[in-house]
Amino acid sequence: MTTARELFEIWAPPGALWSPWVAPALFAQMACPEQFVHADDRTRTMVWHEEMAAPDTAIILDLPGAESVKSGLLLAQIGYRPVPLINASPGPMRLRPTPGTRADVVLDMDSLISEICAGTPWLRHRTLELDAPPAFILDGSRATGTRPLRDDLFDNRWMVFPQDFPSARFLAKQKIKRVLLVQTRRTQPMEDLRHVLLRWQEEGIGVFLKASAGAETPSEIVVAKPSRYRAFWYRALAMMGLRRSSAGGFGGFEPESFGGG
Amino acid sequence: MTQPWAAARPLTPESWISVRARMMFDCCKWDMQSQDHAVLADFPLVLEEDAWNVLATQSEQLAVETLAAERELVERPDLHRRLGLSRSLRKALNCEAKSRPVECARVMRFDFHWTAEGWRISEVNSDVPGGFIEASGFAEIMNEYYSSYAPPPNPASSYADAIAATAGNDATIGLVHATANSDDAQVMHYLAQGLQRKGLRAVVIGPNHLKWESGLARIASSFATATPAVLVRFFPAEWLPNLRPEAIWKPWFCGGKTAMSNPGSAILTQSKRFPLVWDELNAPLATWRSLLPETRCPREVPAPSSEWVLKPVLGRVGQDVLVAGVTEARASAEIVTNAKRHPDLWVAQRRFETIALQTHAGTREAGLGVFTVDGWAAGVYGRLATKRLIDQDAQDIAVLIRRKVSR
Repeated sequence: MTTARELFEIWAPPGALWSPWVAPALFAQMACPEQFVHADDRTRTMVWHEEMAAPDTAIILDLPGAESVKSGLLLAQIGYRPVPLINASPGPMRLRPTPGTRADVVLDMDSLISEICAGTPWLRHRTLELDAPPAFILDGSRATGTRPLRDDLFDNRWMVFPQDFPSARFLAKQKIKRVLLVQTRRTQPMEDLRHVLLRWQEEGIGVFLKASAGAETPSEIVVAKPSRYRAFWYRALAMMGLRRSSAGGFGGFEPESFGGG
Repeated sequence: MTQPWAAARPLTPESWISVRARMMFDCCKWDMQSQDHAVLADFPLVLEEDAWNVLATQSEQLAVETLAAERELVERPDLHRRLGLSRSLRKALNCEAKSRPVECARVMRFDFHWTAEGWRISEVNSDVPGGFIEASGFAEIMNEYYSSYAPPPNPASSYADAIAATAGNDATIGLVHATANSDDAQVMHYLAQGLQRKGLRAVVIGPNHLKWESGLARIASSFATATPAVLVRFFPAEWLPNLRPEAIWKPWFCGGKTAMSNPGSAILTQSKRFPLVWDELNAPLATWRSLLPETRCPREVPAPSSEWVLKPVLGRVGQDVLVAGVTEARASAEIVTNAKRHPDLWVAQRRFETIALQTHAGTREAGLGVFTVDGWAAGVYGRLATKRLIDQDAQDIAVLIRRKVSR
């Protein structure tokens, strides 16, 4: 069994530029059995990206959990640093769930955890530059969950805040000029992420969008202003989950239709 | 004036990597980064023993006064509106004496600042105080590297002892919080570890996982079923009325017979407008009066003003506080507008000038949150800011104590 700390340090090696943004919450609450540690050595390809990482481009993968992790590992193959920013609990207790564990949760993270476990040995042996450009890994299901919301389930949905990411100033200092958002559909980014992206865009970072399935090239978008943007009470209200007064959890953030190219 | 504290030298990078890892994986500290800065400081704040003794004594006096005031305030629903509490909270708090919740392990945190006039407090967090991980595990780990100093009392351990004393052997403790909020979940997991070490069964749940029958709570969820002996709440009292149906949250304020820490009535002193009703109370509040800066309704002071700080009545972690010249212009304008429109939801506190702490990284604003558990000083949570406001951008700093040399 690989320990939580060993797992984390493979994904967030000390000294790597983007390691501070790897969220430890998930790693601290999961474990990988041995069979996963040795299982994955597949050849990976990425159909929609150029052959090499672009040093001036950060990527945000906002796909359903496992797909995000898988894509992050594909991007590692061409030189990106996968940065899991999964700030969530996989289950109700400190159970260290292993793949295949049934969890009574709103957001089932089993396949995401499996993918992390499967990819870890491959990543461990991958030599990435310490300042390799980042591929931030989110879970596109974080707001809606994977099961209908029920009061008896453990609500482990989550959301991102600007504080979870580096600032535009920090990105610019690393010569990052654009960010490429990859999600399932060509819609506006999820609302919580728009709070991050619009700040970046306002500071001069180009925001590009790509649907994961298509072969078309990424296109630049104008990030729509999210509700309560820069409102001084935004975080407090978001935390309270006022958008849907369900117990304990946050509200749903449905993506808005993104018209045009 | 003698400084009560000093910043120690930073740890070596190798040691710091180890401390960080232990914080994440042994102490459940999961919010390690906030935008571009590390949340934890890589050096401790060393507090003189005399200073700690003063803070501990004052905190214990404040805790006694706070509970005395709360006991009066629950009998005085006529004052609840002046505290800036919502209608639903006021309704919930209007409870006959015989139906008031059973409480135990009362925990609070008083936030101290060092000024030219001595210590001042800015507020109490009497509802759901945070900082357990940093004041407990972080201080103890850092103490291993700075062994000539002593760690302050461990508030998580004291809290677990107080809970265990009520719960008894092998009991189940329900740790109630907003399960989707990782920042809160980490505190619950950390406290759960401490409770488990004392032989208690800790179950981490949301408020919706409680079913109340004749005032007694039962954990009824798809992942756990149990009858808790004690409920620990890390879900702010003012959020509870957002939940539906009312039956799942009302017993925190009225009718709950399962021992709880803290009861919903803690919101009465958590309100930053608490000082505005002092003159209506019989409780002696001498320590409060001597340590808290003058506090007024925003209607009575100019805004914006360099002399007054505006605070939301139920703000936490320094969020949405207006300090002239510190809070960014856009937020300041919003706060002033909001405070003028809804003055009863804000409070004005006379600004006090703190004495900054010199560190290897430069000048910092420092604040100390002193925990009390059942009235006893139980530990200290250090915060460090680059600006003259300690808010969500501040760093957590381990606090250690320099013992007096024996004569």
